[in-house]
Amino acid sequence: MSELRKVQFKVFRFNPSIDTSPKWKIYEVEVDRGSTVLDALLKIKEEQDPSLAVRYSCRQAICGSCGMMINGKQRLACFTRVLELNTRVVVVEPLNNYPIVRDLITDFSDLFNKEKMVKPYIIRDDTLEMLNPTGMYLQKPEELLEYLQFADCIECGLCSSACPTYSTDSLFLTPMILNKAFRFSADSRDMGLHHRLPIIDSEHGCWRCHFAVACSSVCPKGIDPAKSIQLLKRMIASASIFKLVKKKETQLVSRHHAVESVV
Amino acid sequence: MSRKENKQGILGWLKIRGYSIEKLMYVAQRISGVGIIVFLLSHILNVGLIYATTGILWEPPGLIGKSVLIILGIIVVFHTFNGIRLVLAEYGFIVGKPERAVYPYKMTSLSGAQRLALYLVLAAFIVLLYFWIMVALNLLGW
Ligand code: SF4
Ligand code: SF4
Ligand code: FES
Repeated sequence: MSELRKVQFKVFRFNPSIDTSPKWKIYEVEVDRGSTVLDALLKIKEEQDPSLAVRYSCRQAICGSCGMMINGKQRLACFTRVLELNTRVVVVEPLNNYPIVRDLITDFSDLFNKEKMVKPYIIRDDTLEMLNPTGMYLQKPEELLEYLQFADCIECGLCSSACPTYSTDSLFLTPMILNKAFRFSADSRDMGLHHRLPIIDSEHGCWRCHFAVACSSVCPKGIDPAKSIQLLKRMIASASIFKLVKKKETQLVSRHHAVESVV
Repeated sequence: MSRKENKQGILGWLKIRGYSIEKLMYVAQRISGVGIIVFLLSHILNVGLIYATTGILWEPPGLIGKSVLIILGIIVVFHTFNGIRLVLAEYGFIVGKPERAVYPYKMTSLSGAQRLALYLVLAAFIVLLYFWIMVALNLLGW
């Protein structure tokens, strides 16, 4: 058992349906080497103040629901060890730039609505095959690498919360969504760039990103949204200015053949 | 903006604590850009007003005029150099290629060619600043 240490937590408390302004509350919690900020908040909730509202689910940096401002920076509470912060007081607030539901919980509806707008799925011209699939599309390892990094996004919203453009332009698509648009547009099976263009190539689309890279500096999963957004700009510029669109030819393998080759 | 909306506004542009040096460069680029525009507009207005009232189109700048020009020179040099890095980054030339995200994560948009370009911008800026200060001191007659 590792040594226990007392740490102070300064927690933002605000219930917009009753309170006129937010308050700060101080709690003292005993933590050990392995305790995360989420562990500490749950301990506060269990032992000191059951009214504290926190959102979480997986506790292992997979569901993306426990994002908050910890000592002024966007982080996942379940992926941040208290003692590694190395401060006497840990300040916990809701994520910047999203409406507050209550205490540390913020509302992501804006992000999810924008996500639908960029059509986050594979779009193809062969409608018949889409409706009645007869096989599967082959993808080479190097084609997979074109988008794999960006497909690991857990939609925690930390990047969009950190983006300076989103802090003044509520209509900006934000890094989480632009990354999603690139993830699908870069997929060798997808033919949907021109369907996404009216949204991503718009006034509030990718050109509003000014490469502040705040998004990548807070991403907990190594997605590097600042990279995918710049690659998206390059893809759009090549497609619209130079008329350079990478020709995608995906090989369709019949199900029968695919099963046989596996056996 | 209400507290419930929780929008950072302009403060979100200026926040640098916790982020990388690229965010600081973003702030510097914004401020220098605004500075150049403000100078340009006030300069046009100023020259226009003087010309309209006195008919004089140009006369050698005084001490204040020279100082403003020197500061402007420094700002323009920074803004141009950093702007070149941004153009290269924004068209995907120096942000790295897609790769597997393997823990501990390394973001290529925050390292490699992009970071090197950033350091080059700072180095070139400091060298040019040195020469510029020499010219400036000369101009001011010191
Ligand atoms: S790189 Fe672009 S999207 Fe990412 S934080 Fe900066 S402005 Fe926002
Ligand atoms: S890109 Fe990173 S920070 Fe942004 S939502 Fe996905 S996992 Fe979270
Ligand atoms: S609880 Fe799932 S990411 Fe933190």
